[in-house]
This record gives sequence, structure tokens and C-alpha cells, in this order.
Amino acid sequence: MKRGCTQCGECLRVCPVYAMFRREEYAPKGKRILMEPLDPEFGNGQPVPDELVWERVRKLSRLCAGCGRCARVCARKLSTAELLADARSRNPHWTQFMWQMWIRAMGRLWPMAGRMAMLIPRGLSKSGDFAGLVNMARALVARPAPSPWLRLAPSKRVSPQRVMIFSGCTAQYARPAWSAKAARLLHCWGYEVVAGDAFVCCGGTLHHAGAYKAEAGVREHNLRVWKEAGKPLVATFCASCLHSLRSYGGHMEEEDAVLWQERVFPLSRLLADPVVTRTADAPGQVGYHEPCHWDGQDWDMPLLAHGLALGKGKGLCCGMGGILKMSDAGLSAAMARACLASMPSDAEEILTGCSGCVLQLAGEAGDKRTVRHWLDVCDIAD
Amino acid sequence: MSTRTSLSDEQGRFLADTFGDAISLAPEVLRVYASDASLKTGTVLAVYRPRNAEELSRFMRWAQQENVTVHPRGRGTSLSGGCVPTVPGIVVSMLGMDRIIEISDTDFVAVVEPGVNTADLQAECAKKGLFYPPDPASSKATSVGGNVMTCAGGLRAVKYGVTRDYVLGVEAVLPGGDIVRFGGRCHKDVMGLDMARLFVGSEGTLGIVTKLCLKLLPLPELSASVLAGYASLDDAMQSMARVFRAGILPCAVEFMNETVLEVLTRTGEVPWPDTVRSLLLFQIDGSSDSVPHDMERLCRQLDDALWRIQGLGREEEARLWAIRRRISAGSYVLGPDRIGGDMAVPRGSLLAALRRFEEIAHANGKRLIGFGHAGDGNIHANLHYDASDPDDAARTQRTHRELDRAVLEFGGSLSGEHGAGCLKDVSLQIPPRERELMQAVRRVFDPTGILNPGKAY
Repeated sequence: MKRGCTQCGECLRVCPVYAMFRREEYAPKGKRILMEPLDPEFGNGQPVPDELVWERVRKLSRLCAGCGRCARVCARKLSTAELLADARSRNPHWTQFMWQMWIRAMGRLWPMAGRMAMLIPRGLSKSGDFAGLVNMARALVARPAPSPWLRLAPSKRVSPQRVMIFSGCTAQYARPAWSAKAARLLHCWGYEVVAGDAFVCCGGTLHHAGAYKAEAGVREHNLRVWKEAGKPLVATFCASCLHSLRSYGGHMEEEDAVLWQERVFPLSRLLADPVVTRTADAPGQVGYHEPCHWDGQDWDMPLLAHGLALGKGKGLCCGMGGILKMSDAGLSAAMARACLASMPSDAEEILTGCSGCVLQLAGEAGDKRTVRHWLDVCDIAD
Repeated sequence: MSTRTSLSDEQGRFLADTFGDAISLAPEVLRVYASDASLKTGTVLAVYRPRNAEELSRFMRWAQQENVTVHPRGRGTSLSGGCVPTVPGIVVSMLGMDRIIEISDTDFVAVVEPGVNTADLQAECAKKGLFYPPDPASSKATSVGGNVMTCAGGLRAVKYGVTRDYVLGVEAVLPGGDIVRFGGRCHKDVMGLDMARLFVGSEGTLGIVTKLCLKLLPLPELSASVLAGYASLDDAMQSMARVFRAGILPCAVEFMNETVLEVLTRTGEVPWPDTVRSLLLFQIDGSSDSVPHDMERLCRQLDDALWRIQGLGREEEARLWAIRRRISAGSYVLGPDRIGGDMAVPRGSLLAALRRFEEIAHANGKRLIGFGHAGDGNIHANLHYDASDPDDAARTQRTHRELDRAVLEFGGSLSGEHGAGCLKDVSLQIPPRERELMQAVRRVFDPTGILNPGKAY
């Protein structure tokens, strides 16, 4: 039997859902009190009263953005997102099936969904679940990238190494320019860029949905692609994809797992010893949203801080994590607005390094602010 | 005291109609408020989350009229069952009232609602160059209201005192609905009985606090820490005594016994040599001129240490304090379940008491994880065990009970910080006549006994 929550309460302060409600039932602690008795590993074999069966506690328990902040402060390192994913896996629901479809089978339709969402007048979608979904769909349509704010070049080219780019679903279907930019930067640094088009979804969001079989499918596919390419370095420019890719190690043979963990990198870390030149087009103050899935070690911000005055938002999660967008799109959107409200007030431009965060924050940013991936504002130096 | 086990339909309707979204009656919500960090559970009939004192007053008037038991609650972090309903009743959660109303850098006071997080208050004060010293180790998890109800201490108590020393004024709602205000924002006020501070440590038995006026100090410019290693706890305690005898008053002195060092060594890298079996962690604070000087004085008294490292300023100090923070999580290597004590003894008896506790643990086949605030004699005496092993569980419970009795041999207290809650046997420490007087005071505030029965004293 696994030991569960000690109810120490450390998770309240870091939970973005708790911050929205300030009620214990919305905190990881509250959700664990409800879900642990239903879990075969945490439950102590005591019968669960009828009024606390999954169907009853599901509504509260699923209000989790999967940001992982609670596990990082927990003395027992308990992840409520994992507990929820396990519960979902044992109790399939049609919303999880819909989410799988959206991620795995409908990616090519995302841009069209975005263009259709653009046609819906904003007055018809001010708040609530419908607005949350429509606003994110609008963000699937890319805004034109600005003239570069930063030009990057290596101070010294690296010794030639092969790198595959893991683009992730958003870049693959809605922001192909990010992958192209990443390839140019890596090439400029001296890496040999190997085509990574055969990679599919990282599986992170499928995991949160409890779709473990589907998750295993994409994981095995991606690892096969990597092995067939000769096990090169893998670079990703999405913090959430990185978080998910790093979890592959637990499902691999030890020798390969070590190699995989050593070779999966955030793109910004591969751009070692950069020479960063700020252009005249760079704004004075830029807001920066740190993705939760950096897990405390953000490699993007130090790179950008070489040339930009970054004001980091004081908010927690943007609300895009897990499958909150599906389980409660209204709450998810409200979390994004709270995150935006915590940005420096004079920052009209906001950068981040996670594909999901970009879509989520851009969807709720309104007309006065623009949210972009940092790749949108960087280019290689001449 | 009420003996009801459920609310009538009419009562449920009244609550929902009168307080709307502030009331929850759904079983899954009630379950969350049925327990605290003691992991004991009680029965919750409803959860009410007041939005202001006037609304809470209306609720308390109704609760007394209907003879419904009320259990106030902050963040639910009590380790002594302070938030657990001892009889079925309505939990009043104060987390929605968490505003920092004012931080005054002229009066040196903060006016807050009770639900504000302790660490958040400290951070907001620091932005204005002000300092709220009470710092329970769990300050990131606790609410100021909860700290006040238990008179929480903390690491800095040796120099700065405990929560009681910083409460200037209290606004509270009593059973029956009266809103009372004691004290204010004057740092000195001797008019009448000191009722504001009577609320401190009252464990929610007198009234529900809705506003607090807290004393602040200027924020020290700089702090520095030194971690010193010794061959034994005996050597460490002798060293600490020398520091105090030399007239040095650190703002924190933490000690760790031999078992703690074994835990730290087993669960991560440690910077000290194998000969080190016990640690003292000192912190001093003051002005940027005084701290380096005081550090030099302190280190001169620690020349008997086998090993030491020091850090000046927050960043350098962080690596020292990270070691102290590893104890709690690391201790689980000695068993997946834990029972903790927070007894206090006179400072001079700390070593003897701790050795006695270790003997008791040993006699029951247990190891004592002993650490805590050496400067004020507050011992965290933790025992780890496996709850699925009935023999281990029984030996651990026996040890815990014997420790409580042993602490009194040294003129100590069963609780230095956590409060009696519903788990401490108060009769061991407080004689009948004194308890009778305490109960009489309680009845003045709560004549029908609806507020937090079975707790504290």
C-alpha cells in the first residue's frame, strides 16, 4: 500500500486552481482526500461510502491543470495529476475519448477550426466553457510574426552532432514556422538537423486524460523513430513536450533510457554560448510566462534575458495543462486571465516557451496584448 | 454541547437560502473538511465560508439559537486535531477572508483577515521594509488566523518571541453573534484585561477571529547562518550554552540529534565528515554593519565544533537551511508513517530530556528523530513506523504516550507550538482547579458550548 497525503497543506499555496476559489476542496489536498480511497494502491481496502464513489467525486477531482507544482512541494512527492490520470484510466468517460480524437485524429483540422472560431463574434463568447474553447481555437490561427527583436549567433560553432527536432502537435499543425526557425538556429550553431517529421504527439496530454494505451502507442512510435534515426540528440521548443519526453525513460530498457535522458534537450540549451543582438524593433518591456512544465529549471528565460528586459509574470499555471480545457474550459480560461493579470502592466508583448501556454494565453489576451513563442521574435544573425 | 447528528431539512434550507454559495452540503465537499493534518476524522454537517464579520455574526446567532456545534478552521494544518470535528457540526472555513487590509510603515502594524497565508503576509511586509517575525516552519502552509489560535512559535522565537507577542488587537464574532473588538493598533495599551491576547492560543474556543491587528518591526537588513558539526548532541549543547553565556542572542538555533544525521546521510549528499554526529544551525540578523561583526563573535564561541560552514545573506544561507528542510521528507526512510511531538522543556533541560526520550524510544524498539528549536527548548520528537504492522504501530503509540509523561518530569509542556487540539491529554499537565477556571472563562464567551467542544483545555 502506498502512503498518501499527510494533509500538511503545502500544496495550497502553489495550486492555481485553489488560487481561483480559495476553498480546500479545490486544492490537491482536497482532491487526494477524495481520490485516494478509490485508488487500488493508496486505498487501505476500506469500503468507500456510496456518496463518495468516483461518479460523485469526479466533478471536483478533475479540476486539475496537471501543472505538477503540488508534487514539487509535497514531502512525499505525490502527484495529484497522476492520481487523477489513474482514476480516469480506470473510469473512461466520453470527454476523454473526445480529447483523444482532437489530439490524435483531428490535428490537420486545427487551423480550419481556428478560422471558423474567428467568425464567431466576440460578444457571443465572453466567458464560460464555450468562450474558453472558442478563444483557444482562435489562437490556433497564427498572427504574422513581427520583425525580429533578437538576432542569435553562436560565439563558437559546436562540434557536428545530429539533432532531430521534436515539434509537438501545435507546431506541426498550427505553427510550422517554429520548427523551421528551430532548424535554422540549430544549423547556424553547427548541428546537423535530421528530419523529425515522423514524430507524433508526445503523449503528455493523453496521459493526463488517462488514455494510457494511446499514450503508450505514441511513445513507442516516437522511440522507434528515434532509434531508426540512429539515436541522435532530440531538441524540443515546448516545455510540456520536454516534460513528457523525459517521462519516456521509465518505460525503456535501462541502457536506452540512460541514452534517451542524456539526449533529449530543450532547444535553448543546445544554443550554447549565444551572441545575442537586440534589434531596434524590440519592445522596452516584455512579459514572460514561465511554463510549469519546466519543472523549476527554465532554459529559455536566461537566453532571452541576454537581449530583452523580461518581466516575469507572478501568476501560476495558465490553465492549459492536463485536460482542463476539456473538463472545464471556463475555469481554464479564467486561470489564463489571472495569469495575464499578473504580468507587468506595461508589457503588451508576452513571450513563453510552451506551445500550449502560447495558445492558451493568446486566446485570452484580448486585443491589447500579444502572446508569442520566443521563436517568433528571434532570428539568426546575418 | 449539542448531540445532533444531522441537520433538519429546514435548517439546511435556511443555511442555503441565507448564505447561498457560502454554504456547502455536498458529501464530497464535507469529507474534505472532516480531517486535518492529524489525519483524524469527524463528522461535518455543513461547511460555511463567511465573507465578512457581519455575515458570520448572523450565522453564529442562528447556530446558538439552533444549538448547532461550530468548528472554526483555517488551512487545516493542525497536527493535534485542532480542526477535527469532535462532535457532528458545521465547519466554518475562514480561508475566504484572507485580505491584507493595511500594512502601515508609520504605526508599524498590519491589519489582516485571519485567512491570509503567513508567508504571504511576511513577503508583503518585507516589500515595505517591515518584518512580521513569527515564523512557524510551516509558514508557507498555514494561515495567520491558525497561528493566532495556536500561538504558533517557530524558528525565530528565541529572539523574537511567539505569535502572542505580535497580536495587538482582535476582532471576533462570539457564539450568539456579538462582534467584539479588543486591543487596537497601539503598541502599548494597558486599559482593561488583555483580552486580545487571551484569544491567542485559545484554539477556537472563545470566538471566531475576523480581523487582527499585528505588531511589525523594521526588517533586518542582513542575516547570516552557520552550521556547526559535533561528535555528539552533548557536545553541541555545550557549545550552544557557551554562545548564550557570551551574551550572543541568535534569532534561531536549531539542533539535530544523531538519528537525524543518519537520516540525512542516508537520503542525500552531506557536506560534513563522518565524525560529525550532531548539528547546530545558528542564524543571526541585524544591520549590514553589525551582522559580520556578530558572526565573528559567534564563530569564536564555536571553535570547539568539528566542522562548520557559514553563509552571509539569503542566497548563501539557503544551502544551509536546505539541510534542515530535508529532515521532514527524509525521515520517511525510517518508516512510512509518522507520529510527531512538539513538546517544550526549559532550555537548560533540553539535552537531558532528549536523552530520556531516546531511552524511552529505544526501550520500545524505536528510534527518536529529535530536532527542533534549541534556543527555546522546543523539541520535535518524531517517531516513524509502519501502520500496517500492528506490533510496530502499538509500540510507537506507547512510546508517544510515554514521551508525553516524560516531558512533565522536566517541568515541560506537552505542546510548545501545535496546541492540545483533541489529541493531547490535557489533564496530565493542567491540574483540575486550573482547568475548571479555564472552562469557566470559556463559558463566559460560549455559554451553551457550541464552539469547538472537546478541544484545548
